[in-house]
Amino acid sequence: MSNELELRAGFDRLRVNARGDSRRYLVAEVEAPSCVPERTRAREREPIHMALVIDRSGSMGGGRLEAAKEAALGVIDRLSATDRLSLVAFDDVIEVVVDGASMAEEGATAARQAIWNLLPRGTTDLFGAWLAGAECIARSVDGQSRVIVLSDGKANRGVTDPGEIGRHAAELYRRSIVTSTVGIGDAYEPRQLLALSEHGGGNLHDAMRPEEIIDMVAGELGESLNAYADRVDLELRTPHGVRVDCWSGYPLERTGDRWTFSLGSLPAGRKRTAIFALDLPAGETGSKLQFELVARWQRPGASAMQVGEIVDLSLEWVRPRDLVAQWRDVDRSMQVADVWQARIVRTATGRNLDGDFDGAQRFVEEQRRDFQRYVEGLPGAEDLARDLIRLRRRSGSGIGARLSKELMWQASSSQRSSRDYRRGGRASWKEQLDR
Amino acid sequence: MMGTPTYDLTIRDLCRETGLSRRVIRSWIERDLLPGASGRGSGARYTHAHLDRLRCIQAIRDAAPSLGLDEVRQILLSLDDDRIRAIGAGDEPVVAMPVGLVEPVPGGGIGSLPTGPRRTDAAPSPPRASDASPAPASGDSALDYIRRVRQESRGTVGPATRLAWGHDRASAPSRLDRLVDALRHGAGTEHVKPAARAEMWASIPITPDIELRARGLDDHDLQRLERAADLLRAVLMRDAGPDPRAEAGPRPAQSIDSEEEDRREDGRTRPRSKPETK
Repeated sequence: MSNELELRAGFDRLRVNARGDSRRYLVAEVEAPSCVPERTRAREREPIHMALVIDRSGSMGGGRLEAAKEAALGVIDRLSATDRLSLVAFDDVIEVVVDGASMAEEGATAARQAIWNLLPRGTTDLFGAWLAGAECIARSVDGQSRVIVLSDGKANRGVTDPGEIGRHAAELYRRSIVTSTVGIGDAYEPRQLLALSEHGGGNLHDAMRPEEIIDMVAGELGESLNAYADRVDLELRTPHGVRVDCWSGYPLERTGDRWTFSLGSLPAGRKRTAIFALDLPAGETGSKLQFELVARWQRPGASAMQVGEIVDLSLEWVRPRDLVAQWRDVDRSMQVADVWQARIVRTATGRNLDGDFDGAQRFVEEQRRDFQRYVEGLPGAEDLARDLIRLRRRSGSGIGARLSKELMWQASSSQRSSRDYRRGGRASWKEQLDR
Repeated sequence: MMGTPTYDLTIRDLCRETGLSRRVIRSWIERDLLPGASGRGSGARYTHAHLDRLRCIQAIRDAAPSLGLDEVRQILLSLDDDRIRAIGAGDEPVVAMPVGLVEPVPGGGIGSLPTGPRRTDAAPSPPRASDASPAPASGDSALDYIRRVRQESRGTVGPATRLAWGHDRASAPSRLDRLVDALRHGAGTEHVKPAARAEMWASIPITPDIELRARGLDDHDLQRLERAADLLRAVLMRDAGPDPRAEAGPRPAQSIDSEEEDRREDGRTRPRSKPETK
C-alpha cells in the first residue's frame, strides 16, 4: 500500500435506462495507510488539543460522572507535554474548568485536581457547553483539535434542535474542529448527539454502562493520536441532470454538478465506505454518462488539502429490454443493502421517538417493498427482508429508551463504518428487536 | 396582512383529507409544526391553512424521509403561506437530499443546500494527484465563528464561566427578555405549559379572539415572543377565573376530542356556529 490515502469506487450495475428514471448506487471506499504507529511518539506527531465536555447534571450520579472523570484522568495520562487539554463541565451552568492547559507536569497536576473536584448537579445546556469546549480549542492554532462531549441527558436549555446543532457542528468542522460524542445510559437524546458528531466529523458512542465511557474516550484519544487525516472529503463530478444522495449520511455541499461529501477524520489503517444513490436522467442509447470521483484530505497540522488520483467511472444508457439480466456487482450490492437497511432503521426509530408510530410503520413498509426488489438474488435476501418486517412490527408502539439508542447507534455505525469501543460488543439490532 | 381564517374543519376532516391519524396530527401540533385548534372538544375547529400545512409536511417527509420533525419545523419557518400551499398541493417541487440541513432552493423547491460559506468553483479542470489545494474556505476562523454564534444568540446560548479567570460572558437582556420577565411576574409562575405555535414568523394567537402579530423578528426574538404569549395567556386565564369546562374533571384532550368527534359524526351533536370565545 502506498503512503497516500487510497480511493476505490464502483457502481453496483453499469447499465441505465435510456428513457430515464434509473437509480444506480456508487460504492466508494477510502483507506488510510497504516503508517502512523511510530508517529504516536509525541515528538513525531502534531500536538493535540482535546476538549472534554462533561455533563455534570444530577442524573450523572450513580457512577457515570465518576467514570467520566476516570476517562478524563486517563486522557491526561496518555497526553504528552506538548499537548493541551480543556475541560468544560456543564449542567444549566457552563464552567470552563481547565482552559487549554499544557500537559507539562504543572498543568497536568492542576487538571487532575480540577477533575477530582467535579460533582453532579443541575440540568443540561449541551449546546452551550459544546461551544465553550470548542472555544477553548479555537484559541490555539496548531495541531489537531477534537471536542468530546459526554452526556447522559437531553439538551433542554439553549439550542436544542438537532438541525441547528448540526449546522454549527458542520461550521466548526469546516474550521478543523472535530466533535465526537458519548451518549451515556438510556435517557440521552440520540439525535442531538448524532447531529453534533456526524456533522462534526467525529463519532457517536453509546455507553450503556459507566465503565464503557472510559473505553470510548480512550478509543477517541487513540484515533486522535493515530490520525492519518483530520478531514477527508470526497468530490463527485456528475453529468448535468444527475441527483446524488449520500446514503451513508455524510454532510453534503453542492456546487452545480460537483458534489462534495465530508467523511470526517480518518485514523491510520482505517477504511471508510460511502454509498451514494444516483438518480439518472434519460439519454441517448449507447452513449455514456461519465463521472469523476476524487478524495481530498488534510493531514494533522497541515493547512492545505492533498488531492488524490481521480477515479473515472461511467454508466451506459441502454434500451429498457437490455436492462434485464444485466451484470451486477454482488459485493457492492450487499454493501448497499446494509446501508439501506441502516437508513430505514434510523428513520423509523426517529419517527418512533417522535411518537409517530403509524408514520414509522408506513415508512418501513414502503421502503421494504423497494428494498425487497433490490436484494432479490443476493445472498441472504430473504433474511434481509424479514428483518424489516420485524422492524415494522416493532415500530408500531414505543420501542423503549435502550433499544432506540441501540438502533440509532448501530444504524449510524453501519452507515459510517465507525468502530465499536464497547467491551464485549452487543447483540445486533436484529436480535434485540425480538427481546 | 392575512385575512381572518375560517375555522370550519374538524380533525376528522383533516384525517380524511390527508390520510393521517388523529394521533399523528396531534403529535405534530404538540411539536409546533402547526397551530392548535380553535376551541376544544366538539368545538375544536381547524382552518384550511392547517390542511395546507399538513400536506406540506407530508410532501417534505415523503421527499426526505430521514428528516426529523424538528428539521421539518425549521423548513416550515422559512416558508410563507403561499409556498406552504404550493408545496402541499404539489405545485412546487421538493427535492430530497441526504443531509438534514434543508432550506428553500432559489427559484423554487426545497433542497439541502449548505448553509455555510460556499467553496468557490475555482478550478474548471479536474484536480490531479499530488496537487495541494488550500483547505476549504471558511470565511472566518473558528473563534470568530463561535463569537458570532454567541453574539447572534442574544443569550440563548449559555455563557461559559471561566473559573480560572472568573470571566463571565453573559450578555445584556434584550427588550423581549425584559417583557418575558415582567409577564413572568404577572403570571405568578415560571411553569407555564407552552401552547402550540401558530404562524410562528408573524402571528401568535393568545386566545381565539386575541393574537400577537409581529414582523421582522429573527428566530430568537420569536422564541421570546412565544414565551411572552404563553405567559400572557396564563395571565388572562388566571384573570378570567376557572374554565367552567374544566369542572368536569381533567380528561386527556385526545379522548375528549375523539368522543365528541365521534358523536357529531353520528348526528347526536352539532358543531357550534363559531369558535367559542371566553
